Amino acid sequence: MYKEPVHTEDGWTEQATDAELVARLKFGDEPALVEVYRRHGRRVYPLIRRIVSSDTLAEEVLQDVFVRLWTRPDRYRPEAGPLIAWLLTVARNLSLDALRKEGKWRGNVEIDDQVQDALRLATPAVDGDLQMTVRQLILALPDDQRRTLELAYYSGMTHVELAARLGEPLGTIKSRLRLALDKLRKTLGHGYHSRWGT
Amino acid sequence: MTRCQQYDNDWELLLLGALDEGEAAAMRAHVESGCPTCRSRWIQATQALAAIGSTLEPVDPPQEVETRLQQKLHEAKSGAPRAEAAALRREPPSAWRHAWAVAALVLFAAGIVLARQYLELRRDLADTRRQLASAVEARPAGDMQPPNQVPDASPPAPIQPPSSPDRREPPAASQDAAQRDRERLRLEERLAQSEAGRLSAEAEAARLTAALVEAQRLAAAQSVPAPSPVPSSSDDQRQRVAALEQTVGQLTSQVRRLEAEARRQSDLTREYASALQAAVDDRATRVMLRPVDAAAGKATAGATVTADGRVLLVARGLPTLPADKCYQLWVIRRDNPAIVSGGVLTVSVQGQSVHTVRVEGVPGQITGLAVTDEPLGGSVQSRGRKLLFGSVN
Repeated sequence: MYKEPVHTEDGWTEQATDAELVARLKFGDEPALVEVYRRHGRRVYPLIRRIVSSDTLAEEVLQDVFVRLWTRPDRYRPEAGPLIAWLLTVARNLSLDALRKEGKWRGNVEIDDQVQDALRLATPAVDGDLQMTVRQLILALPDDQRRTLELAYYSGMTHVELAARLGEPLGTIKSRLRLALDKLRKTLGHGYHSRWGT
Repeated sequence: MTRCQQYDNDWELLLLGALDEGEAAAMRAHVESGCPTCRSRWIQATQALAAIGSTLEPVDPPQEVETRLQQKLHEAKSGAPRAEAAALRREPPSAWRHAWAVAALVLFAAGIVLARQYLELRRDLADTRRQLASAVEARPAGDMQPPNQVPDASPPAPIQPPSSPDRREPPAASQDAAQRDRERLRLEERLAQSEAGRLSAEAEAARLTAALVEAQRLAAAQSVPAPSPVPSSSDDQRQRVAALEQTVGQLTSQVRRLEAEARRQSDLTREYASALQAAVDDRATRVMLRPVDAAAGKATAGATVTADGRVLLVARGLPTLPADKCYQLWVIRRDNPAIVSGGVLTVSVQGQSVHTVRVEGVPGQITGLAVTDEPLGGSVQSRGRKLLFGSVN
């Protein structure tokens, strides 16, 4: 379980599991949300920033992610996976929505050298096992598969848009994506939940 | 190939948004129809994609984001508080009606216990007197004097159990002080009755003790062979003395047990007295504890935190725990130690519990109450599941 050594006024909040915190959100427990934010905000923020490419917009979307959890905590169900996975999923969706809403969705997210370097140099975090596994997997993918996968993930493009963007046949794009995702699925296996450390 | 098999490799693509809208809609409809296999794959795919998002190096957002987020929460709260939040902050009258009724029932039950204890004491006293009488009768004439003091057989005025508990609602915040005073007086009257019962039980236990001391003295006197011109030929006599000594021993332990019970009842009476007074204390804070774990079932609890740091907890609907588990109350505070034990709850077979505890330190620092399941006997630090939780506002 990823837990930052945060200092909250509420000692209990600090010790609570994610599922307990979300359960408390259902009763309007504000410190519980703040604790969730402190625990996971720094994991969600870089994803949003990566997608929207704007600090200002990223901060707005980041707030929206946690306000979404605050207003609809019932949407998250612990049995369906760890909270961080849910937050990252919501963050990606809201980020893409924000870009579309602002007319800034360009579909031109590229995996540049900087991102590659960041992936290679990144130090393991608290739940580094999963992070490192996925990082290594992505880095081990053939370049064309990796580029297609990351472009699809960070830009939200459809098959057709990806094909147009990369100048490849639609079937090739589908095939590459399936291959990359199949490797990811097989690498992570069925123990996703435990791999997340919850 | 079944539809599930057909979709099996596409869930990640669906979640990526890479599929055509028609295909995506068909897959969503299928998973929403409740297919467990595809539901499982959907979850798996969600986590796989989230794993990609988690590979980026963590970055601390600017501090202002947290500040703005908190402002948004405040606005959301003050604007349109959700029903649950509102319920948490307002004292639901029905819950406190229940708390009041349970507390009254407990008091009533305590009175019944005292009354039963008193009847037991009377019966034991009568037995003791019979034993003493037998001892006197069994003793050969002239060997000993009748006991100087036979325990007073006349019992004190019997305890009147409290009349049937008043199930009226507790005075609402809006009710006037006069009604509150009447409630308080009524409580005090009942407590006085319980206290009278306790005093009677204690007095009776003391009389029993005195009687037993006398019985022991007599038994000791009998065990010493009395000088007699006639050689003691009576094995019968020795057997009777041995039996009498055994009986006295048994009665002694019984009296010890009853004394301990009387002390316990005395403590309980005092505890309930302060707790029930707290229940009508205007300055006390009411807290509702709600289930935060499925294991809590439909359990709920209400608590009163008084200005002097006393916590009265009334819980109901507590599921039966495994034999090696118990419920434990935790008091959450702002200062260190942040979480302190509020003691192990005693739970009735109906799943109800009334529990009081006095928290050391500054009462205003209490921010919440929680009930967990812990290994039997309780824990020094909470390790169990948090089942109920309530914030102290």
